[in-house]
Amino acid sequence: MRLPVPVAAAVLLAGCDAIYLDAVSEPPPTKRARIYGDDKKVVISRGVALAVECTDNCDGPCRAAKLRSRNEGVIAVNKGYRFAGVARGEDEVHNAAVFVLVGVSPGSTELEVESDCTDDTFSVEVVP
Amino acid sequence: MRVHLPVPLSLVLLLAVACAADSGEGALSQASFGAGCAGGGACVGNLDAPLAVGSRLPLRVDLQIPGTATPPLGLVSAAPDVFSVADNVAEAHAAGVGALLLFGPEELVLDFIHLWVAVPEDLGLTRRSEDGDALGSLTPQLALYPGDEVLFSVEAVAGGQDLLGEFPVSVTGGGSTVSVVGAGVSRWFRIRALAPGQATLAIEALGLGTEVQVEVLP
Repeated sequence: MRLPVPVAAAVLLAGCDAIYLDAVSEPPPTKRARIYGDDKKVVISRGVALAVECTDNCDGPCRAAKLRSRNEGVIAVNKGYRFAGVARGEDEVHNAAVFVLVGVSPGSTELEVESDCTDDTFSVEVVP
Repeated sequence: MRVHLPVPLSLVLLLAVACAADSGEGALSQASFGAGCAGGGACVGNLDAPLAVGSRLPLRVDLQIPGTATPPLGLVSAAPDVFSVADNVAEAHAAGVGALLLFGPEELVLDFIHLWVAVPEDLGLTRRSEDGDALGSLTPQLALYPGDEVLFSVEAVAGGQDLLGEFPVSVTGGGSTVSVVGAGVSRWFRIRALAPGQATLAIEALGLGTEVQVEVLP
């Protein structure tokens, strides 16, 4: 069966839409704060903060980025501000795709991440 | 020409300079965090050690985002069981580590740093010069002549490391041999030899104690 070209292109593009979370900070010694991108999983220690940046394969830094915790009692999500020029030497002044995660209490939940391009879900494990 | 400042003034200047140089860079490199000097308490150094359980530490933040003056800021602890923050003063509750979040307008996190809290194991006594410089540990036995003065500070110590934070200190036992008065800075005291004799000074803080034997020679 042959698909019409526009439909095939749409299927192809839909399959390529991807959204990522990348860590832009480090955990303190003895604690964990890491994103396992291949597994779409966040592991963070209780009481630790982790700055993350949302990117997608449409725009680079996510446009209209949203990040939501399905259980704020396990992991809290705060909007962040990052003057990218300081950290990366790029000509950006306000990266609205930065968030700061905080491990609130041990447990598991999920993060919903969304941009104007696509969306996805990351599993979360908060460890003691 | 050397100018001799009154001791309290020289201490204030010393501590102000120390505060200005002290900082801890935030995880996003957009703010530096340090020990503040607000509220009349002592400036206890920068964030180069854990806070002592039971102590309070005034905090100072310097924002480093080009092109903007400092907006309204707020500090929040991500581990309130380890330390809490109110009115820019951290209060250490239990050993551990937690993030100190710096919030700006519209609840944006502008930066953060992780603070450590440790249980103090001992009290350390540091002899101080009149300019406030540390001269080493105060010996547990002192021999003084009437009129001599010794300036010292009290530190909370864990694993040989001086911990951060302000806490109440009690010094008793001078009698008629020596007097002990506060030196105008939290945790700093001045021993003054009054008359020949012997005295045992008991120094207590954070549930810990130590002693200094003082002999005032004729």
